[in-house]
Amino acid sequence: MSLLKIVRINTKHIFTKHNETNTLYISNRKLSIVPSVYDQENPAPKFFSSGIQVLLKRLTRPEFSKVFRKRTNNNTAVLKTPVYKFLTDEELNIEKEKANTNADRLLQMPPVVKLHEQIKDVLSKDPALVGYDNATYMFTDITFGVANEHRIIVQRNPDGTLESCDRDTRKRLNQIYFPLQGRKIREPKVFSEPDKFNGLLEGEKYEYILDRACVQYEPDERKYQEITSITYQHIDLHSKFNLLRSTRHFGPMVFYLTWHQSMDRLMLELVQSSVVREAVLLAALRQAVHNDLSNGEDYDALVSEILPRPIQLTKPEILSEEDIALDTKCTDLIDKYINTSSSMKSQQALALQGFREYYQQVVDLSRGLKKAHEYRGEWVRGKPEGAGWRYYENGNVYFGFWRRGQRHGYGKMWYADGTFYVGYWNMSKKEGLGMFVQVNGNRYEGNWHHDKKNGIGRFYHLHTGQLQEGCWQDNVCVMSKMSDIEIRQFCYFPSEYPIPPETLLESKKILEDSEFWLKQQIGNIDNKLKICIDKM
Amino acid sequence: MATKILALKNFVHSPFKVLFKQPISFNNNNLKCISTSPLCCVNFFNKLPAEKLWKSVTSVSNAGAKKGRGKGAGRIRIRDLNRGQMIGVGKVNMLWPGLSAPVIRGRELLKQQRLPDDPERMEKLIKLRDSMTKFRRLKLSPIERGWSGVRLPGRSLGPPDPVAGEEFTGFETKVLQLRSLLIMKGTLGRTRNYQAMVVTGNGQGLAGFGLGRAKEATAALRKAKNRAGKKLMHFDIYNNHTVYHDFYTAFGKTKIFVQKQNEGYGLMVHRAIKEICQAIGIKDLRAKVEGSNNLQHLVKAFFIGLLQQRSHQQLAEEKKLHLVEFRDENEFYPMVVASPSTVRTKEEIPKDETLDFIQYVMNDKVILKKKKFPPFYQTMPHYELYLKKFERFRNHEKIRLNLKVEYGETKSFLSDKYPDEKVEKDD
Amino acid sequence: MPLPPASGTGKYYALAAKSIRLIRQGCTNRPFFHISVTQRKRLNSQPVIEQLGSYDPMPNINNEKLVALNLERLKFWLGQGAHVTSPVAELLGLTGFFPIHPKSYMTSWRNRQAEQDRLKSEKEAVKSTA
Repeated sequence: MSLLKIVRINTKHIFTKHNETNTLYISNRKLSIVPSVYDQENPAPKFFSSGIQVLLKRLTRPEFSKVFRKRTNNNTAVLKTPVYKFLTDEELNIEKEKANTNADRLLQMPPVVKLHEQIKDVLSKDPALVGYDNATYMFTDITFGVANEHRIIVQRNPDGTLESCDRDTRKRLNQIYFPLQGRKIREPKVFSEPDKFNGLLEGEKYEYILDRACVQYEPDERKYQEITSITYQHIDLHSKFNLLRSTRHFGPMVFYLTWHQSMDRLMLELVQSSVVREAVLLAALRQAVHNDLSNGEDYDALVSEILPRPIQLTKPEILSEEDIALDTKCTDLIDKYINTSSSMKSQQALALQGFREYYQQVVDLSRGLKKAHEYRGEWVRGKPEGAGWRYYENGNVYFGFWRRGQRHGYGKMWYADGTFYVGYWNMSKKEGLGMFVQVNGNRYEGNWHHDKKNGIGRFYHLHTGQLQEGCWQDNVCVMSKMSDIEIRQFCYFPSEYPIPPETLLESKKILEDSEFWLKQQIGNIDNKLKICIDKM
Repeated sequence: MATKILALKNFVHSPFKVLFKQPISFNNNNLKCISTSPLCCVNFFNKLPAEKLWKSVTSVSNAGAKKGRGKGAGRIRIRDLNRGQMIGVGKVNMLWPGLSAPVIRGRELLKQQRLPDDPERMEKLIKLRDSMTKFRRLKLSPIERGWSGVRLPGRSLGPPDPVAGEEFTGFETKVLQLRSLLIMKGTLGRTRNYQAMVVTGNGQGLAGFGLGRAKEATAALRKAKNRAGKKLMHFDIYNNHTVYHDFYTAFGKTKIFVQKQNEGYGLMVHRAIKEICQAIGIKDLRAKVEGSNNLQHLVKAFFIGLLQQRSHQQLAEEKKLHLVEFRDENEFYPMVVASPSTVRTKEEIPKDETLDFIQYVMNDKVILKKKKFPPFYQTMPHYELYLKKFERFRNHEKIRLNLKVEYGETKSFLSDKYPDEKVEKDD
Repeated sequence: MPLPPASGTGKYYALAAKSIRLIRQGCTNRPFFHISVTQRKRLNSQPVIEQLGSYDPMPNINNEKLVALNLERLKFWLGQGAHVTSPVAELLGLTGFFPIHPKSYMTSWRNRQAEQDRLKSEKEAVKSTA
């Protein structure tokens, strides 16, 4: 009995089908794609539920460089000159917030709803009007401010009946009186002619198809659902998910695949591209839609752990311990999922195995890197001695000679703040001749003592073009002579006028009288330098 | 001078007539008046040699030559009247063996004989004689030619000469200005000098300009070109198509307002600036020149402006604020192009500081925008009439296009219904 | 000076009688009507007070005649006591907004009669030839 019923329904179905849809079926038989539409259960409540929306948005993996890319369909024939602004940190944050909302707008997903039902609503029958006219009269209420779906559109047929119009006619008349930009009254050939549609599919213009379908059709139309269904399946068959990532169609596609229990190829792609977290999200989506996984609570717990983390757009090179813990949990859960409820067990298991091996390498590398942060070089009795590299926790880097674990002798130090020192060290302190370069290029060349400028030295003010020669004591300049460097004119902020040639009458003598001058003798310095160079 | 030429022409066309005027007239007149004394007309035509005759026609006075007369299109040139004439070939077409023909042709000994006359011989001769005399301008292809006609400014000179074996590969030199200067000298009086300004560049950021002076135009150009090659400057080009920011620059009384433009905008600038931009490799720019349009000042001002450009990082450091780029095609996504080492907060910014980027980089200068008036015809009564008349046809073009897209021709579903009706034919 | 809009200028005398009528806007051989409210004494060529809708009497490719009506404004003008001409009243009757105009019934009856007569004459012609 029930079988008979099904047959009856099916035959009815075939009769009501459009001719155009039939041609679509035939054309895609080559690809063995049969479009399926949401005509049984209504998917809208699940699709619009906040939990699933969050999962879908996260799975979209929005990459701003793709979301805000230059589009060809934004109706700008000529590019406009870019606008520049000076912004403070707060203003920049506000702008970024704006960009986020803008991205949300651009990534707003087309709704997934059930197929609409036909309207059958006869308002009145007046047989006395038969023969009034051969044509049908279509009446549209064009009252201002009424939404398209609530507009009164009725028709008076030649047989005198007054009835509400069916969906197609409503759409057509709405388009005539209140045109939507980009929508055509006639169906575009891209969708009506299967050859052209297939050409687009073969050319992998998926986003174009889906965008165009969004403009041309309503989401509850059969044609829309068929077109999107074929496109989604085509993407799934060829594993071209990346083409749709960061677009608004990715969410509906994932939902479609999950709804029809065919998300395993996507799962495989996720595992292969080593994004296990998203694989967990996908499994959780399946759990939320179908509730058919054995350990559903585990997924929810892990999802709540994953969601606050930032989105991984690229493969991480260095992992923190937290990341490693989370990823291990994810891997275990995916392993369970593959074993219990996957339809592509062997391939996914293989991919997961590959991921595990890769992941172990990354973990080793990031842990090993931390070790390498310590010291590389020559060792004597458990302590660095001789030449060696040292990476400090705060980002400083030292390369030079060591003695009993201390910087000693000639060495170079790159500080994390961008400054640089090259010269002599004594038990981790700057001592002797050395050069210190500041971030802006200004440099001190001269003597150091106890980590401070002490003794005769030269300070080049490169940004203004002056040279300061004199004596320092504990980083404080005691006495100095300022003079112009030859390149003063070419500096970023040259002083307005050159220093006049007048000097103290006996400046040289005063300098020579000071005790620091006596301490230092030029010959000494040169000797020291020579020895050091020989050592190196 | 015209009468001179006419007389000469007369003489040229019928030389014998002039010379033997009398005997010919003797033939024609009645036989009564016969003079026995021999007649020979002597005038300066047959008294003076050709050189002197020509000189009298073509010469220009000393003062005139100094003013530049007797040059260019109106100049009279010396014609070789013997051009095309050969010994042994004359009006009567005679065959002279040994002179105009070989003595033996094959086995036959040629004889002196008269051949049939060539009636077009004289015309051919005159044509040949006149062919070289007309002043003809050098024909240049539109790409090669400069800003106007055959004048040099705007034309290409090729790369500068190599310096110490260093070749200027990929360089192209354009003439910006070539003019003559007159200076007074104690011994020579007023003398003429030529001054040339050229710009050279490789289209990838390297460019320079040079000024050369010499007695001859070509020498001036060469000097300028080689100087330009020695004074090359490098300019950074933003995204390989435009400048880094708008700027204002001036030299003397010349003011230039330069505006950065989007890709594909082109060069909407003074023609000299256009040549400079092409030499540097800037593709999109708009510049407005105010004040004096002295070309040398213009070039110097533009180069100074380009050199004084600041990179985005410098601007950000000066302001101690983030420099953010907003592009329409990217939905105004805030792209931070430069960040300073320390960023000021809102409280630290003084109230009267200029924060507007354009205002800041233009140094508070504003471009004068002239009011645009409607075209004259729009204020006339017939324009209103035209608008009224054509109101009903306003959509016809679009509808025709749509019908052509749909049916391949201008027809509609009604033309199938009423096939007898004539279809309006267009195009 | 821009042309006055076909959709109306909104200028009118408050106490003058108004009429809702069809105003022909198409060109030669292509009728098209605006349903507009104007002062009753004004010509159709003069600017109207407000346009309330449109009527395309030529059937389109789907054999439909399209009528657009701004019912909200129509109600307003009816409330103001505007007079409705009979062609508009016929259209409104077909919409179901007014009761069906007697003229519509008359037209349909006449058309049916004409059709019957035609059928009859055709039958007779067939008989006579046979």
